[in-house]
Amino acid sequence: MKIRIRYSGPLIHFTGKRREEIVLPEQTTAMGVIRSLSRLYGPRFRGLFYRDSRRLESFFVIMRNGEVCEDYDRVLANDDEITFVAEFAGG
Amino acid sequence: MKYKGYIGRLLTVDLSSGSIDHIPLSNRQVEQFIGGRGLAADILYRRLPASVDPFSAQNDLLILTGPAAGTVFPTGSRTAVATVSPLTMSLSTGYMGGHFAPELKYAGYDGILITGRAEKPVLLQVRDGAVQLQDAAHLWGLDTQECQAEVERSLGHVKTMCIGPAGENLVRYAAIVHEQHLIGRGGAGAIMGFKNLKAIALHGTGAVEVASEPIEFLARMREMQSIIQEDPIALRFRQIGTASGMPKKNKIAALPTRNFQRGVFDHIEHFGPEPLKQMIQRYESCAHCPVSCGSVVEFDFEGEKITTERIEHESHWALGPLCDIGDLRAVLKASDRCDRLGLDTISAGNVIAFAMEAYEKGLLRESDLDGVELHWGRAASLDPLLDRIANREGIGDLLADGVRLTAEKLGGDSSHFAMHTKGLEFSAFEPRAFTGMGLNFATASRGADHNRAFTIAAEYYGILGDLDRNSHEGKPEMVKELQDFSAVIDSIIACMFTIDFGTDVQLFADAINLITGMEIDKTEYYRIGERINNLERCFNLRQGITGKDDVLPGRIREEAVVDGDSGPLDIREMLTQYYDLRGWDEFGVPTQKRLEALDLGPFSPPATEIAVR
Repeated sequence: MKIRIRYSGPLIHFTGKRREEIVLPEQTTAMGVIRSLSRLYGPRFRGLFYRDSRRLESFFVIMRNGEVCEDYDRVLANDDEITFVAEFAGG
Repeated sequence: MKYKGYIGRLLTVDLSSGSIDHIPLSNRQVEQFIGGRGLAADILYRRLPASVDPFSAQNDLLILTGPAAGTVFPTGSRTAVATVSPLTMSLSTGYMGGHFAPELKYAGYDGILITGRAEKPVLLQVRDGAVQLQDAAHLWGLDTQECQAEVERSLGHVKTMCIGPAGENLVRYAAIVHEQHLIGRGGAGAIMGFKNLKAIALHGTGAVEVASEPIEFLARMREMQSIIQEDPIALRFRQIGTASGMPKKNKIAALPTRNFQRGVFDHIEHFGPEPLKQMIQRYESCAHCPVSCGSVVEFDFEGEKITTERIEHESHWALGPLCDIGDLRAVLKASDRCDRLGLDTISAGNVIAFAMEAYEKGLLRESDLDGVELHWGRAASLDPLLDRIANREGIGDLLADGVRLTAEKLGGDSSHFAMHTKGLEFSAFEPRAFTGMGLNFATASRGADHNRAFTIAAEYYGILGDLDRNSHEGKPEMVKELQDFSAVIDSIIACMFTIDFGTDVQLFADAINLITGMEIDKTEYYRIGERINNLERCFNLRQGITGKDDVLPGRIREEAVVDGDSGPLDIREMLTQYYDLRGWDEFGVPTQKRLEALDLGPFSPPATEIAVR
């Protein structure tokens, strides 16, 4: 199935893109999207989500179709949009 | 003036004599400094003598726009105010959003240079080039919202900036307020108060020309607007503001709590995005900004309905976790009180937290407090303390001078926990958890200002390379680069939030070129930024602020963060590397060679004007 990805701030620098589409197996979850992108972009990308090697501890807010995604193990639907939002601003 | 985007002149107002005139902007000035912060450094370095007393008629107050103000460049319509700060004694330039800068351009000026001191309270009115000083006795004593309302009631359609009681009473961190935007840091409001200038009201019907063809210009501006507006961070800012980052920082024990004693705030569930979201009534925007990160919130507080601006990360933190206060509504109410009194929330929160610790340690006693309770977490004390500070009453008279001077007066070991650099109180970033921010706090030209180099994204997300937030490796390079980058943003006077949206130097260089007709590339962009940072350094050296002031407080140098993994921070090695990168000598003084390379040869302060190292 097709998943649309949107990147913000620091991830735009990492990936060189603001958006992309990836094709993933059916029954993919948000966690699966993170794993797939980590394989694609390598250890530095992975390190943003797995701060302590094995445990997912993301300092991005992950949104699914504009709503905050609380459950990373929930199966996604075709054409879902996953957005990674960095939240470390001051002001 | 061969460049577009500028009107080409500054209004000059001598409050001592009442004389009103104007001075031209030169091509050289805008080529070298662009506008805003850079231009302020150039003008004030040339005008002011060494060791200016901020509370003297010699100190100027300089209000500036940038070339983008009044054009549709997104976020570029902000206002800068520069002066010698009564809090830090350094050159201090602050910025605010709203709608003041475009109106100033439309009224026929790139800025206003205010000199001297009026004998009685005055209002400065500028209408399409016609300038008047008017009696303001009837405004003196009004809070900032009352004052703006009264000015607009009597003068009609104007944009107003003013001070509140805090500025009138020379509180060293008094703010200037326009709508509900503040020039908060550094005490420019106190300089306005010293000058007896209560308010400035503008109305303009002019226009701003740009260099590029209109169709091309609008097309490029739409592109830039899309880049900014469509970034998901922009949407989050609009929905919930920047306080959304607080829970994340708390998770890594990097949310300074109890005056930087701790890194974890036990009441975090009451703060952050979700509680605020419920209160939002409507969204608001600064001029020509597609983000619209402002919003108005409404809530009940002790039987009173409060309508105020949703507060951002710094105000949330300074009046909340820093003081170990877990009552969000009390924090919102106190922030509103700061806005009305005309107080910088960051400094105010720091001063209150400092006082709480001083009380805890017995350096302040009950008899000093006029009945105000100073226990950690005492939300009910916020408003009474703020009122006392703004009016310099009782304990407020002590606290009104900021943590540095208050610690000097209290003595004991209080300087150890007076959280400032060069007199400017810390903002919401734990230097021991983000060592680059620690280096920036120590070296930024006006003290501990996170916006001089917002290192957090780089230190946490690694956008400038593989950087570990606890390590020192790579940090001097990162801090220098970000300080130079930010200096030009502050001179265009774009919103610093734009750096969070995946923008880069090229976007800002393109904006300058499209608007003005200059031809700046990335190399020249950074050179301008470096020039500005060096000139500010020279200014500060003339004020007696030297390398000995590039230090962090004892708490940061000697203590680990309780409940976190961050140990004490020793910046000396990073500082040596930073000086070297900057082309400064071992004492942090720019070398003649570096100044000449930046076309600053004539600006180098004579050796006799530099304090003994």
